[in-house]
Amino acid sequence: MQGGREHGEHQGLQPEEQAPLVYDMRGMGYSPEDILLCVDADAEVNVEMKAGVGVKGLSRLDAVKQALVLFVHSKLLMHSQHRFAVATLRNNAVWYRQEFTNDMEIIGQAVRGLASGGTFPRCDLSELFQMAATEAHSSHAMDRTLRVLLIYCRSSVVPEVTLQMPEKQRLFTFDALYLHDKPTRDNCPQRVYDVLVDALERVSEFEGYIFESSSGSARVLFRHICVLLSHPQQRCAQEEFDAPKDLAKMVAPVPRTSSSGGLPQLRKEGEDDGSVPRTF
Amino acid sequence: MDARAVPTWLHAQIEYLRNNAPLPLKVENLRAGTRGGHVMDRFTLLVPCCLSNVKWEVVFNGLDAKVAPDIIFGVDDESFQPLANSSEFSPGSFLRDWTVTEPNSLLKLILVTRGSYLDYQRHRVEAVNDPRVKFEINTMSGLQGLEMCITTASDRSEEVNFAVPLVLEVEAPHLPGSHLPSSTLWNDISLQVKFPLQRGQTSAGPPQLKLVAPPAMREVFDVDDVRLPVWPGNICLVEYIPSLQQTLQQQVREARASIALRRSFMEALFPFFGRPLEADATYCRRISLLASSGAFTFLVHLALPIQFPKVQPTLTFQSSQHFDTRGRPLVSRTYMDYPWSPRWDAPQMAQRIMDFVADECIAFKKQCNDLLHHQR
Repeated sequence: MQGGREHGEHQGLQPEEQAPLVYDMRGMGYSPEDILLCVDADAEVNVEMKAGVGVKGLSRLDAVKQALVLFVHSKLLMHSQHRFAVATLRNNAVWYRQEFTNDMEIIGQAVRGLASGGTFPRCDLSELFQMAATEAHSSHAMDRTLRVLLIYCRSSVVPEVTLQMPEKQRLFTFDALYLHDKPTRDNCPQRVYDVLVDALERVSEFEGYIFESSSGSARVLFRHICVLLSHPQQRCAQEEFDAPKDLAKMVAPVPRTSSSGGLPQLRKEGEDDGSVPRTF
Repeated sequence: MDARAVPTWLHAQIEYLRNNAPLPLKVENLRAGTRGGHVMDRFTLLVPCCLSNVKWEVVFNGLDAKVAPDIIFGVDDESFQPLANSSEFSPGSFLRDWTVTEPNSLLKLILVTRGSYLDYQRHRVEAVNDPRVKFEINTMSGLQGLEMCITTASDRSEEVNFAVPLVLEVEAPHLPGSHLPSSTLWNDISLQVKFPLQRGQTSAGPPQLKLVAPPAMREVFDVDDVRLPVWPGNICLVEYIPSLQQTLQQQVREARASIALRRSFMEALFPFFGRPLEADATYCRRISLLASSGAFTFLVHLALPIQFPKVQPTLTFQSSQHFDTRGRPLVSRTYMDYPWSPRWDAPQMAQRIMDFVADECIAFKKQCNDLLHHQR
């Protein structure tokens, strides 16, 4: 896979020069979230996932629905006041359920009702961003924070953002989950990915996270969506996000005392650390 | 609130009140004047008075912004006549000069009417011909923020109420990440004192005492847990308050220390579990972690009690890979009985929790697999 986008600020640092990771709760924000789930309605959502043990004939949309139920349920366990709304993505984003709610039954019903709506050869994210910006004003008035979680499945349709958001205006956090086919001569998932990364960086209020997968594994999808549970106001850069740690392999860290300045050393063997690959 | 059916000028007045009121005023039941009507121009307003709420109905004419609202008081307040006074800052003058050019007109009207209402209640209390009540009033006149009123209990008997805000010394740093300044949180504890009246007279014994605090405080401190100092013999309120303040001061100090301990503990989890998914950064009562054991990815939700570390956190496991017949992820029982000592330092607590989670998640995974097997 060639032509990946590189980020200068990450290229310059050698591993030993990186600042130790910290988790300092002072000054950390914690507002309830309004989360706009935007699911691709293109026919590519019907592509089959990889068959697993006892799992057969699961489409991307089926797996996404399950992942979203996992996501909503988990968020509500963390804070009962997080709320959710649903939109679909055709050539543009369209509301599916506009009113934010924290009622698990209602959201479950909305998510289960999602279906593909045809083949959409274009995709413009401007409408989605405008919908989000409008909702963000209401959310902020209630001391809430708005987030958009986009689930995109087209391997050959590069999203555009024809109406650029004003540079200074970052009203919501933008996360993306990209499920696609393996790269071939006839598709362009790398370009799609790059555009999504770019959009994230231009538009997102707090650190936006993005995951891509062509493996077709539902388990990996669920794991990615668990990382997306992280609260935008409390995030670090995606490259630094270091959970989950495999407890089966952990060597107990040296407890941090006032005399030892550095952080404990942790041993991870061949661990998938889930950081953002710039090319794939 | 359906803004489309509320006249814009009224919406502006209500929003201003909601966002700028110095007291917790609550607008409820915004509605139209007729059944099926489209113009929503009246509502119920809950006004705090003496630590409980009185309900007023506020009625506008949605079709004419120039018409001042009517305010309808409760059934027990028929003798409240705020228009009798027509001085400069009375409700009457605000109604006479009513305009919606500024969005704060409604709020100003309500605050000034509330002031009149509190005066009216004070006069009722002063009219009670009971030596004890008169003595309390005379000694209390210097107390800042004192409110008093007469309420009618469910059995139609009357009670004299006093509400006294308690001033606590709140030392330095404010709560982590909280948008509430610390003074708002800790200085909103009030003492409510009731003297029931029988045939217009108080009884000889001590009054009914109750501490009242805003609901948000329950996350860090439960006023109902405070054991109030005994009311010794024939003292009055002004003499009782200092010892109450001292007791409260000590317990508030402990509650604040507990928040700091909860926060250190939560931060100590990071080297063991990696970055938490979400933490209650305001009151440090909850934190959720993402963990794995081999191919099994799961979440751990911890809830920290107010009495931490004396009382240990509760722990719940949640699978990311196992779902019940309704599609919901499987969740474990709540664990409250794992190894724990309040004398460990934060890193030791975190280490022991990690050890417990690393062990117990295997059993949890097995339970999930068994359950799924039975579901098929």
